[in-house]
Amino acid sequence: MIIDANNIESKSIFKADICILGGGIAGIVLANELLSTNKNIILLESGSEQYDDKTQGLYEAESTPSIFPNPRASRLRFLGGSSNHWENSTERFSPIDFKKRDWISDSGWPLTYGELEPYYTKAEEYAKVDKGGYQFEFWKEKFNSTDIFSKSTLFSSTVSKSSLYPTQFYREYGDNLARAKNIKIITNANVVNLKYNTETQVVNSAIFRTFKDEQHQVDANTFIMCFGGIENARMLLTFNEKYKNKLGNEYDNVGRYFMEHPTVRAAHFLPLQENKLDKIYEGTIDDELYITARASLSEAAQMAHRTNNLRMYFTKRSKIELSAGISSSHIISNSIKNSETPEEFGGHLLNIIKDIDHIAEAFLRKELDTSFFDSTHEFGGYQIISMIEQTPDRNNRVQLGKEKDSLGIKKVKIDFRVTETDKEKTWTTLELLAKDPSIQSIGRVRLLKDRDSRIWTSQLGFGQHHMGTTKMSDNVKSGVVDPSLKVFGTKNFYISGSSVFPTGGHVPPTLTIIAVTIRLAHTLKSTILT
Amino acid sequence: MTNLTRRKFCSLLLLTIAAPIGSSSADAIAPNSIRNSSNEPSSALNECESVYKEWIKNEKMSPAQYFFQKIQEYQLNPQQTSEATTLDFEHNNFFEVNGLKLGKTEASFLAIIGSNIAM
Repeated sequence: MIIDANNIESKSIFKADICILGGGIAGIVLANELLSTNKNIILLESGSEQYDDKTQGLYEAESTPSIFPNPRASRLRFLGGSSNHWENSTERFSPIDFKKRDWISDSGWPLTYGELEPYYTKAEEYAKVDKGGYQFEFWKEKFNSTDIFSKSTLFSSTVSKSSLYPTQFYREYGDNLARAKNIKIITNANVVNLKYNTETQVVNSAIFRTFKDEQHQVDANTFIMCFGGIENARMLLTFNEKYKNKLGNEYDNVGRYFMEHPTVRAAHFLPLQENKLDKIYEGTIDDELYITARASLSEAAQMAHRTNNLRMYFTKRSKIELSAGISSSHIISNSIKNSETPEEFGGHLLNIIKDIDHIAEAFLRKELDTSFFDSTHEFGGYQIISMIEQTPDRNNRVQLGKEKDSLGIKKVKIDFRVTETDKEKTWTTLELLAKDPSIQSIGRVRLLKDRDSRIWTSQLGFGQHHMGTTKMSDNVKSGVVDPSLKVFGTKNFYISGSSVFPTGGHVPPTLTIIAVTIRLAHTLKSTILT
Repeated sequence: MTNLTRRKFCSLLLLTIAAPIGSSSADAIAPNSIRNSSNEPSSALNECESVYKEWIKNEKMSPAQYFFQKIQEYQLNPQQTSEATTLDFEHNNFFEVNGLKLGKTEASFLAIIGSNIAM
């Protein structure tokens, strides 16, 4: 049953066994998994079944660093959450992503890959990417491809998969939930606080409001918060203002260790004549799945070279897109704007002269919306796009600002940087790729170190994956939730989503979000609910 | 003869002579322009020129000296640049130009071409 909070009586009190806060991917999966318990479930969703600008505005941050996108633009606040606009790119985390690595501070999950593995299979069914597995060998044979890393001891080819079209979780599973007798989905229900008993450590109620300024509450035995990587921290910090950090924040960990997947375009791959990469590396379709092969650094190599995990894929580019001259012209023009002379001025000038046709083409495209030089559109090579595992950094954090949103909840301010160490580790991995014997027979790699400052600032991309702000730990001093995802200091309050990830891995987090959520449902079913 | 025509002439002449020796190397740094007669070969040749300039800046030995010494050391003949590159990659013997990682032997060969263009 779906209930619009705008249509309920003033100061309503709902009773339930389980209250799920948030109807995004994690909330929907959790509700779906718990349906079979026949317990009464209430799911509170801030939005409704459709996008609404006023509700979306609740994501607006007070401040973010200039390089970092405002969460208002990267998340979606209605049923289905960000699955309403995701690419559905999925891959499992690697076993090494869960391990304590002495060269990555604060790494290590309190659970192993093996413990999560059984839940990945079901997670793949949810995301509709379960056909064929993730083994490169299977897809290589299917597409009659060659493995470019067959001779390599450091790198291997792995695949990521997306379903076509991307799975929108509310559209896919919403009917099932709406038809169920033991669940109520309350829309336009914005959670603003909890009622928590500091003596018993029990959360008794969730308070929610509407834009009509009506306030209601849900009383339940168990609460699970699934608001997303930034909002989980924001709301937990909000609750803790009232309850003096008793909810998982005794050691000031809530909002800290905020991680993303910085994405850099720091190298080009230039294949030998007539030796383009097989279509599997460029991305290809097979029966409602989009398959892309990419380069993966082995666990042994990561250990030997003390690097972070990294996902590298090859994107086909034209000559104009790989032009060093265009990049140099940007560097020079930026320097002139700042009244500076760039380093290696002569080299940049030379690049411009060499690529004058590409620069002219870019200018004509921009100013006159027309194309002039045919050759600039010809295949030029591949851009190597690297999605980086970030080292957890206590100073990268989500905090409450001073400004409030239209419901009176403080907006977030976000501190975020990519450390020099993480940048160096990225260059190390790209260097290893450039020198790998498997590359020698198919092409050469150009590292764009001369563009370093732009690569890590104006050209820096993000996976839009928000992680780590309510991290899982077996120790209250270093985390917010325990390995069962229960918030420290509480007996019945849980969190799910990428905010519980202690490290972010090197692949999009959604499949792992679903896996940890199914695991949580399993835990709840086998312990608390029986 | 314009500068560009002279460059084209010199480079095409060199490539004709050296094609069996350095095909893989030239292709590697200029994947789609150098062998396509309809394309302007200047970008590949500019790369060779850059290799040459980088070489004389950093190396004591001339590119030709290095090339023949290395070929001998690897017990190859000058037509086997590709094999020399394989061995360079295996022995971590690299030369970097504008971020491009090349086997040092192929780099010396490209520098030989570049030296003629830079004349």
